[in-house]
Amino acid sequence: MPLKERIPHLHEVRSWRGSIQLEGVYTVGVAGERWLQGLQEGRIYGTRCLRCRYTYVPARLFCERCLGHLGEDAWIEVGPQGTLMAWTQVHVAPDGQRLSHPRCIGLVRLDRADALMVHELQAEDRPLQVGLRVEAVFRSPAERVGSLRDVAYFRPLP
Amino acid sequence: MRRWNTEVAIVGAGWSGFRSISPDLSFREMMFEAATKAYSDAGIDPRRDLDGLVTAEEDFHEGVAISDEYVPDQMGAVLKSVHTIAGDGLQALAAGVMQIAAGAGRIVAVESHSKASNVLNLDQITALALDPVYQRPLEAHPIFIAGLEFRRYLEVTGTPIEHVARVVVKNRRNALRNPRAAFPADLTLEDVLHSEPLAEPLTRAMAADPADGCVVFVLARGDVARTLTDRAVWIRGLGWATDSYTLENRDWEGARYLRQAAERAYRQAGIQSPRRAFDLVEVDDTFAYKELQHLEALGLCRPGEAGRWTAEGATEVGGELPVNPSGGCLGEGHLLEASGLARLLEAVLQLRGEAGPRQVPNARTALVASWRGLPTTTGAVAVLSREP
Ligand SMILES: [Zn+2]
Repeated sequence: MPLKERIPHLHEVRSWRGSIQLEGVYTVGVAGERWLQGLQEGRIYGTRCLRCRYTYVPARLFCERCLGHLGEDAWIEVGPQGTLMAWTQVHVAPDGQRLSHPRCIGLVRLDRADALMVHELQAEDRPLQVGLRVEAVFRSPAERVGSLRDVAYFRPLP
Repeated sequence: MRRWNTEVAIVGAGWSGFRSISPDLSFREMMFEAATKAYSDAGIDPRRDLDGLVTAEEDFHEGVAISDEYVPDQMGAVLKSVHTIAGDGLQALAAGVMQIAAGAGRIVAVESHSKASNVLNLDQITALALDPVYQRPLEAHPIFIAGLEFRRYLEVTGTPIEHVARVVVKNRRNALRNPRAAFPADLTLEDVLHSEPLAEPLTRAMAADPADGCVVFVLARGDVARTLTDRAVWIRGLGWATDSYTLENRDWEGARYLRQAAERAYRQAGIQSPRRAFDLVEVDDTFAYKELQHLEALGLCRPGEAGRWTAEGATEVGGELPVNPSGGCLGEGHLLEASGLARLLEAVLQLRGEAGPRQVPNARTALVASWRGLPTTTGAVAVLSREP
């Protein structure tokens, strides 16, 4: 197919540079509002579906298994301790650049929850293994704003 | 899912690439090249014979809003029925098959492409797919999901990491015999294990690099297919499924999405024991451990068995069940939404006996399985055969 003609130098290839800007807000909803407020108060909430015997974290208004409504009586406090299910040392930033210091991300099953939570893991030099007991460490009350980052990180229990 | 009332076959295939960069071609010209080859392969005149077009693409990868409007011109599909699927190419194949089965057309084209080299911040776009409230505040590269899942896979199955590295060695070696492959290489286990870490235990060599390319197929209703060609490849079963998308509630161990998709495809194709049903498999290997996890989810071996199977050479060309003779995503390059169609292309060429030096002798049936990539939980499966 005679589509490709030889291009001797890359700088002779014509292209147009552009970028897309997209700005918006993401409303967190009824359950999200209450869950994030809980973090601000230093508590992690879940909602438990009694029919499916499954507890969601972050708390949700509905159960994805039976599609039942998770109302007032479904709210329970979970964690802040839990069990490490997996971890990874991440060596790249979101823009693809390599990090000079890798960061550790953990996958944690909070006590009394079934859903798994992903968050920063700070273990210093503690050797990591699946099954390790960990706990959520909150920022000081003055620093909390009602965000996932109100939990500063997870750390191994002493 | 029962069988459709209508038989559907692939009667034409065409492609452009695959290459690590393609500065000489616009995405339209890549599509035009692949489409022209596919229509000529099928022996059809698209302006006269084509009833519809289904494509798979994502606006953010195309760099334009409403990118589905950009497709009919270079495909010969102006003023025809056009659908775009925001998903993997195998889902577009499914949509094309359903249109024919529903009587909406006799001949339908399916297309997907990747111009990954035009996207200057692909990593950030993938990061935008993470939940804005519950995950994006961590400001982490989404590769962490692969790192966590890989760790979980090793833990649960007891697979040694060397067996995962074997997948990379095998696939990139297979790619040496595939002229479409963008990243053929002869690597050692040490090369793979000691390449720079991305999200431990995942190394750079265990992750497929993106590539540019386009794949086009022509589908036809059974009776039409028989008049067009004697090299038709028949679609015997299709399935696709999406697990819970949330990191909190998804399955971290067994690629549940693909198990579901496979069950549906097998039921449709009347397959009872998948392990003995296929002459070759083309399966998603975006990350090396995914090939093993996916083989197990497809029921081709028991959980935890795929690593040993690979280490023993069973999945090599010439082994008990060749897996990714094309080189997979690791060898051919990751074609974004077109990845599933790249897997399908190799299967079609193999079943037609046109795979050249990597031909699996007397291949009559093939299994194709795709994954939509990070951070998704969507997989699709196609069962193909030389006989209807
Ligand atoms: Zn429920």
